Amino acid sequence: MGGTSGRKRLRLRRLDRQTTGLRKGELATPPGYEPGRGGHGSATSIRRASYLGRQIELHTTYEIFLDGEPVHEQIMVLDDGTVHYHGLPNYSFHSALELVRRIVERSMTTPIEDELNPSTLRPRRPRYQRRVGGRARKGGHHHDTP
Amino acid sequence: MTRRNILTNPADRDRFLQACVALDEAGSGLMASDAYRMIRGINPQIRMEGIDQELSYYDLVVLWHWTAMGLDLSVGNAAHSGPIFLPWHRMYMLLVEQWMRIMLDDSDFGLPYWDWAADGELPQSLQWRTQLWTSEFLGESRARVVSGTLARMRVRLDGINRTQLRSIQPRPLERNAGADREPSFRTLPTQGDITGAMAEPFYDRSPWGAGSTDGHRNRLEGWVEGPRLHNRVHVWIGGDMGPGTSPNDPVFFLNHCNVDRVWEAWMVERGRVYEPGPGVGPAGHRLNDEMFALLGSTMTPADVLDVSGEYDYDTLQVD
Repeated sequence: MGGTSGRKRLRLRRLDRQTTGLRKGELATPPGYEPGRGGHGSATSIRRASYLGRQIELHTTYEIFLDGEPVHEQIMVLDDGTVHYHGLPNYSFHSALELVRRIVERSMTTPIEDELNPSTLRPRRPRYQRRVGGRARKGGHHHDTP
Repeated sequence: MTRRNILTNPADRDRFLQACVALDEAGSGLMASDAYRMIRGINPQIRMEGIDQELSYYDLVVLWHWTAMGLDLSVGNAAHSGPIFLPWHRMYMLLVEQWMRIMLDDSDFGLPYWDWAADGELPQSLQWRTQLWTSEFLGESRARVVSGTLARMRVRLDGINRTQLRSIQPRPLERNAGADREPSFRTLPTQGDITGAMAEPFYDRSPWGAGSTDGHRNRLEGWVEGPRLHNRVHVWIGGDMGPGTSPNDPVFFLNHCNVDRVWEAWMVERGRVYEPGPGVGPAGHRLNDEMFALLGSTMTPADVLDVSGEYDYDTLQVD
């Protein structure tokens, strides 16, 4: 181990909920919040520009199908012609096909036991709630999903 | 308090790495199911799945970033792809820095930065093998992180896309630096990229979003002929730096601290000017709009334009 091993250990204090300002159920959305604008819904990307006194407007719509099924994700076309998808922040591609390949790759996840949604929970079965640090404690309260 | 270059300040490096691990090993008392209920209350499109486990304080920082990314504004989201990008991340890092000071019991602690453009001047074959990617610093650049202090970090939240979040079996960090299959993504930003961002005479302009072809913010965020600058660093590192849960990797803060340093340098040259001002431009991105805060107190862009009372940088010579 490198890093801090073998050096003088710093004294660590603990955070608490008051210090962190952690709130439950009191979150405020920012001004201008438009649920769903960047995801499901319209898949048309609009670019506007002025040139030599003329107003240019380009509407680009991608219809994406995976295994024959439509994919309702919006692909944005940026002014430089590259394409972007909100689910892959920081990326922009010259090829929409390459972008969809990346979306497919990212969606290929390994199966996981879903304890957060009631349809997949087995009722009345004690659960193990895992705590940070790897320790587990049995039981605990059941949380309804939102 | 001064923010310094991580490569030349081993004491700052060690404190930063230790603070990250300490935040990641400290249970917040908040379960994944609590977090799901909390964020779904403001964004019903969110679906979270997986293990109901206790989240660490570090996980809450990750959750904040991912949640902000899913809040669509009229332009971009609550933290990216619009004018809000730079002030939101300044607010975000102020809180993380404050937490780290508490954990370290060190009121002088400042987040270090990584001057990635300096490494971007190296040959491509060396960029992912610098001192930064050794066990003394951040650990492996192209694998799971199993050496150095950050080998103790565990990823518990994994963003699949902007509405789907997984609570996973804790695992080490993963990186794939400089190895993206797209050849043009395999190099870090250069000094020339910084010079281009510094040369922009205004902060931001209509159409304000990722599509703008000029403006300091959009160039520094990395959308112009992108991914460049900030965006390129995320893409270049890959792995856990790719999705909206990218703060999972502490290198996120080294990247954004450098981005913040470039913005500060630009403001010193051009004036502390922010656009759009009050009542104009896209809502949520305006000078006096409150920014999204999952933790701590909310701030406006106006609140963070001058942070001289909070921190400074060892140098603003960025290009």
